[in-house]
Amino acid sequence: MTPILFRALAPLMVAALPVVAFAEEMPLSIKIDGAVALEASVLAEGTLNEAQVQVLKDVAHQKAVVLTCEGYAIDDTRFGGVLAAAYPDDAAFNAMDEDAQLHMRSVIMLVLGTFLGGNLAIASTDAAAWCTSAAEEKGQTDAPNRIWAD
Amino acid sequence: MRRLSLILATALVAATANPPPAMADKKTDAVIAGAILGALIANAARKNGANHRFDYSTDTAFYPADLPGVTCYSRARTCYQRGNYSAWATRRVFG
Repeated sequence: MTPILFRALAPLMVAALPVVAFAEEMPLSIKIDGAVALEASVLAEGTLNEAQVQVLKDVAHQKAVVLTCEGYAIDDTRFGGVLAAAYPDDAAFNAMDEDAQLHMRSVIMLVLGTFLGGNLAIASTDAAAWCTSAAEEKGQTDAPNRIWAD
Repeated sequence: MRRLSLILATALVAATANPPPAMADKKTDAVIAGAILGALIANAARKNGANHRFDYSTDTAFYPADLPGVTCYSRARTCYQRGNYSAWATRRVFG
């Protein structure tokens, strides 16, 4: 690289450094979560809306915490109420033909299972940090889609 | 049917060893559901290359000043607390 060309490109190279550094420092837990969210959104496409997928993500995340950290349990009443929000209401669901109902049920199961498996994988990368984050999350009593028991 | 769906999802999260009694004889449903799941997975494998919403390598990260330890991603509309997903922070930042 000629000196003149180097001088011209140097500011661009320096400006690009923080971006590169950030990409290298992104925690594995976030990379996995992004990959899992991508698969789940593709599976849900055309069947579930974003709010429904979010409910399933939150439910699976909390269940994974119950399975991996001490001191957590699921409140069945809260769970029933939150999960029902992932489905259309009774009238809308009953208006669907049986194939569509089965398709929706399958998508919900698959998306929920994808999130649950992904969260368990994330937990396995650093269980202590995972449970510390969960404890902070549990302290936020106004968190959405809460299914943990108090 | 909606009730049955809720029971199935509950069974997954409750992690019980046995299927709920309501499903014990639903072999036809199970076969059909298996076929649907197979098709869904095959289609997802074909489509996920075109979906960049959760490609964090090209997303914009930011750090809300009032939420220490929280990192959020603009396009994904998702926040993490010390590297782990936070439903609370996500709702707080993105509504």
